[in-house]
Amino acid sequence: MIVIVLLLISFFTGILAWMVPGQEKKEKINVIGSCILACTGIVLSWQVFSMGTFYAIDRAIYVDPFSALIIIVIVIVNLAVSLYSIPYLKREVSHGLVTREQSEKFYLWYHVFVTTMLSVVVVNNLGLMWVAIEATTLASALLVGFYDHKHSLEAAWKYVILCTVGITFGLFGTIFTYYSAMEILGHGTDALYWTKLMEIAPRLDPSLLKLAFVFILVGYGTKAGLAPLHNWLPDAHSQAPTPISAVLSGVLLNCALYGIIRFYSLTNSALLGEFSQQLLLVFGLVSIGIAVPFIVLQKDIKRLLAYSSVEHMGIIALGVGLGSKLALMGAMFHLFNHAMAKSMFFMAVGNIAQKFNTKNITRIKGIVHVMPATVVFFLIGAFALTGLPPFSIFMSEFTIAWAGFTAGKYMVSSLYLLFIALIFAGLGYHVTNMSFGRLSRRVAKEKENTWLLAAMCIPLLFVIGLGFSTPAFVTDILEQIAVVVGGE
Amino acid sequence: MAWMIYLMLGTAFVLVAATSLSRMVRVLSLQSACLALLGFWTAYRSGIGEIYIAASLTFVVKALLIPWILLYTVRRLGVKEQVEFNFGIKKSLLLSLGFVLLSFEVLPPNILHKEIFSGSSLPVAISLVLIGLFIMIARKKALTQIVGLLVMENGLYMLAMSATMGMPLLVEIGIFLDLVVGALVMGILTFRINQSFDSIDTSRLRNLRG
Amino acid sequence: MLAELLYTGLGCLIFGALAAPLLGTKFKKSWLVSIGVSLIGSLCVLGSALQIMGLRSPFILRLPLSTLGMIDQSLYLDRLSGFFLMVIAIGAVLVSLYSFGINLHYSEAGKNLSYFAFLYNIFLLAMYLVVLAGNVVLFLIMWEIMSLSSYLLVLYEHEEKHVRQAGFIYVVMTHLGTVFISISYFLLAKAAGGLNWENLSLVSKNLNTGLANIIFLLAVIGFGTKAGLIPLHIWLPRAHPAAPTNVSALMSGVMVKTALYGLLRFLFTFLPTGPWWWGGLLLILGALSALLGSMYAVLQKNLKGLLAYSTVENMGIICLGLGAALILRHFQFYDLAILAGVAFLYHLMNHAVFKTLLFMGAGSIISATHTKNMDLLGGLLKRMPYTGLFFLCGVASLVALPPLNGFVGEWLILKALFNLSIAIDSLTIKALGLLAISVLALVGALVATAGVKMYGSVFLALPRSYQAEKARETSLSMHIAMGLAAFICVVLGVLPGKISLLLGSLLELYWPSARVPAQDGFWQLCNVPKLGGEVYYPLFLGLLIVIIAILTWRLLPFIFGQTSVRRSETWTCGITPDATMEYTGTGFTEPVRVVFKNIFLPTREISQIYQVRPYFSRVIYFRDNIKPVIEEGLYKPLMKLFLAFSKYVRRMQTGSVQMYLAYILITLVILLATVR
Repeated sequence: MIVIVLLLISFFTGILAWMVPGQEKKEKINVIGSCILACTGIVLSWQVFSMGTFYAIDRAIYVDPFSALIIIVIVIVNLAVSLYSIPYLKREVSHGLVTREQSEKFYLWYHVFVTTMLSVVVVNNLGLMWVAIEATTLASALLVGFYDHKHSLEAAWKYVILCTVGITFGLFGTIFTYYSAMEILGHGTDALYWTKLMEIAPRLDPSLLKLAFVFILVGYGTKAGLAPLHNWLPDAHSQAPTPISAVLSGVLLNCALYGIIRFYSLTNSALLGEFSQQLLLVFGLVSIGIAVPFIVLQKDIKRLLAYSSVEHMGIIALGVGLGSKLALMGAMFHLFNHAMAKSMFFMAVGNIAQKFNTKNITRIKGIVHVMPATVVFFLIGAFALTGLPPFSIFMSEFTIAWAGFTAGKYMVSSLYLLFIALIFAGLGYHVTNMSFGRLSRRVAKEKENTWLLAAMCIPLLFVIGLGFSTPAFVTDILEQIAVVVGGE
Repeated sequence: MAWMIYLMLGTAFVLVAATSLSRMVRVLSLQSACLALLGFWTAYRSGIGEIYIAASLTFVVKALLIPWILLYTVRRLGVKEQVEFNFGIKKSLLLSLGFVLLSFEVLPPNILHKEIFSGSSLPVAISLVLIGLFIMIARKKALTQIVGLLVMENGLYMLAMSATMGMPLLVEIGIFLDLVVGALVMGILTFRINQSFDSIDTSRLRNLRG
Repeated sequence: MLAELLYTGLGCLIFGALAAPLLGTKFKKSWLVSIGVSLIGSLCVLGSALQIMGLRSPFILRLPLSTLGMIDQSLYLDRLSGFFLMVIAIGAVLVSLYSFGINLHYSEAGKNLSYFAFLYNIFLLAMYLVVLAGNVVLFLIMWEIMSLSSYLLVLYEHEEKHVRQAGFIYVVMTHLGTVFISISYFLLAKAAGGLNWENLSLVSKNLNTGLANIIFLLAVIGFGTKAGLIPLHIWLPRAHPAAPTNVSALMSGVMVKTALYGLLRFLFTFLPTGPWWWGGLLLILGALSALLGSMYAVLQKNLKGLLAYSTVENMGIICLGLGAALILRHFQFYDLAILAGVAFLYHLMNHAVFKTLLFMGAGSIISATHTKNMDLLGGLLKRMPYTGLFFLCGVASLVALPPLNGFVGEWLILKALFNLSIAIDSLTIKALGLLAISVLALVGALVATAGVKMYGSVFLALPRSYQAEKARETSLSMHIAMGLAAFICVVLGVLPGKISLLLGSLLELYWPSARVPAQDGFWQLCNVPKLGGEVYYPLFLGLLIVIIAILTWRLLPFIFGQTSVRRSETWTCGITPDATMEYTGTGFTEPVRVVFKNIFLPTREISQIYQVRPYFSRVIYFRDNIKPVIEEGLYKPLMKLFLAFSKYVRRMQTGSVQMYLAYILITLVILLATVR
């Protein structure tokens, strides 16, 4: 039942925030709803981690440790972003970038978007999962085009078209899976239930399943931003309002990746692991590599972050592609860490872009003089995302690299390390020049908004807290997830 | 009923060759109607009641509702009927033929050993999907892109009918919901793009790069 | 007891790091508290380091931290880590003492000192833990924190463009180096089946030669970057001068040594005795670094730049010793290998002390005059007598004059190289040895030039600028620190016997086949019976130099007759002479520039602004520069290539949605083809 409550809370927060008049009240509803959602989500996930997989409504709802991980990611990022979006929107309204009517609809769309993402991970039915993933695109499309100027419309259009095309392929893959399962289970919902499919996986037709995986990979891979299917991603991330960018990057991509990984487990238990691992390895490595030139030569800070998301999705795919238990643990850990670090970094960048009134990297200089608190988050975010210790991403990247070497994939792992270092060089260059130096333009120093800082502290806690060591319970959770994902 | 799927393939070629927007939408509507017919036939053959519902939904949504939304958009926006090309008609037709051959050639033979219409619904479905994607690539206007997308969906749906007698009803309904909302969202975006750019030519949407 | 002391020390540093931001409002006080705590911490660490040096077998401290359940993180204490811990702690104690005085002017300039104090403590902590780390995870974490914190410290005066550039190049180079280090660790760990030092130290027996070679090469590239070996040095001469002086002292004196620790950890405990070319490679890299480092050092106008290049040179010299030791060991001349080993460890220690001393001196000079340009200084000996004295001590050590410690180290290394050429019956190695010897000799001369230039143009003659004229002696804590460093220089110089015995016993633990020969006395160096006794009495030699100097001064006039001295004004073409007309350091080193012009590729431009052409010029500009060969020839083309390639790839993002759809289509078609 708690799962339904979870979805309802999120949905009704949006509806209430839409119906209740008055900006103040909308904001309050938004924050309170997100807090309740966070508590519920964490309680739910905790139950799953401690008591095992969770079913409801005749097995139509299914939450295993892997879904629980994503739920945690969603509710935490959601909490931070909800806090953040209040002062952010206020400022946009006061600067005249957004009209008051537009800003009133924001919370509705936002919470509906979150609801769709939550529903992706709690349904047992692969068909409904597809429906939910497509729904995330539609719910967020208008948010991407929120500013309603030329660039954001262009981004929204590309986002919708590319993701919908991609996801059509995803449905293709789902149909193939259904077809092969139907031979055993007969027509009906059972043949799409993830739990059922896992039971009969070894009896599924392997050549069909291969075909299905290819379509799923291209389909959901487009949405997850795996290169060379990632082209919508920098546009959407750079043009959306910053809170939305944070959610897109931190959570939405993971939801799409969730779809791929589910099918990966299926192929793995159908003894086609090697095939899907190869594909994931290639896509992962290409995604990491392709991010390098774009990050090095980037002029728009939010696009830069978008390419960094491509890189990190690539790292997760690479980790899953390595296939060993350690690698899966690393990949899942990375998924969590990336969501935290990236949403924090986006929020910091949003502050800076608002302050300097530009996203152009070359025109932002000397942040440290005007925003001494934000710059700390900014630097920590940059270092964390480039895999420097003592931040949590280092741990997961290290684990994946070590798993790669233990799997005997020396070239892949070495290239992976090299690409990450080159990305560090690119990001390090931009960050050094942006944070330090003399102020580039007249920007007044004023007190930084406490709410904005508080919002960033939530993910920061995890970025630093998991940096030095991973407590035993975290390892335990990750092991559970790795078992689920490994699927054997 | 095997001829029906070839008919659908034929309509796809007509779409590739079409030069006027509203005619494109009407052909699309015809293609969707064929699809609905396939659905009814499947329902009749298998005797599963659920499929009637799905087929009716197909008819209502794909053959009537969405074409109406598209035609409405065309009229409201007052855009020129002329379809704008990235590839000429001859080239497009040749390439589409190429996709059909590719689908028949590349796919493992007899991968679907139990289908309802004939032995070639999988390659035809994949051809439709590829041609749909190709229409999106080869035509410039936002509306033609939506049409291409819908052709893809039709191909997909045809496969689902032929191979699995459609998806379970719940999923089916979800898919239709997405489809309608998707068409609405794209329609809204088309309106807004027309407002901002004074055109729905997507080749003008090239400001974001690098 | 050992563990408690160590934890107390490290805890103090953590406390010091946190204290500064927490007490942050009153800059001066929080700075003093933070540095004070840090000093105590470093003393504790020094104490435990001395204890660790006495351990016969490794001592492992488990930490309550874990990484994804793979391993428990642990500290690994053995003589090697103890030795490096000691070196670092000595540097840290000196610099912390010194720092009480140095940084206060920043607070007057409105800079955030608590930021500095935080990073300073973290930096020290990371350096200690790098050498203590007992597994790959902790090592890499600390290694990166060390780089990161020092990068942020380098950026302390970030308003200057060149500082930002230096910081960026530094952090990128060192990070790329880390990639190589990680790969070599991973390869080793894969062979060993574990990430702990205990696992890794057991692997050497069943490591095949090819893999060992690859691991060695990767480690040399990785650690060589941090050590500043040419051609991987480009960050060092930029970053060290750009940092605040106490940080430069730590970076140059101590941090680069951690790279050697890493390399030695591989060579001593992980890798088997490799083929002789391992040593050969190090000899060549060492010779190159020593030679080019000293050449560039001579031509530097920037006081800290000179010291930075001298660090490159000294790291080169240390590598020469290491290379010799490796080759000797390969050919089973165990005793000689130990002698060479003692030599490079000795020099490593010396360099840490005298380079710290010199940087501290430079810091005092800079804080008194606000300029780093040696051509603007001069005459500081009268104004800053203590600093001048201690600095002289450092310079004498740098240029290897007995009885100071620099001589002992370089002499031992020279001897090791001679042994190499004599003992081994291979023409290549003999040639290599002789080459290294001649390089070392040339380097000695060049460094002497650099030393004379540095001391002469800074401390002697008359001040060449207003700032130099106004210079005043700096604070007491700085004098104490420098005095202490100078004292250590002397002690290391006059007690070579005992110290080399100590270093020898360290080596015996890792190279058990040989023993250090017995000593007879404090002042005698390790002697090797086969080659005949070798006796070195530093005090006597030092005295001899002084006596010769005095005799030359007094005796020559006595022999050749007193020449009459006539004092009068210098003829300066009718213009009133002033201090700017003095002989400058640049002029002094002009011959070197001319001799090596094919390497320096000097450029100079002279432009005049005339009042009346062509005879009466108002202003003459003179600008001279040298082209750094390696940057121009290696790094710039690489960088260009990389950027051009990136630009090319970037075109893929065309902005056209149709193109993106085509990408999807192509990907799908390719994948479908692979399924079949």
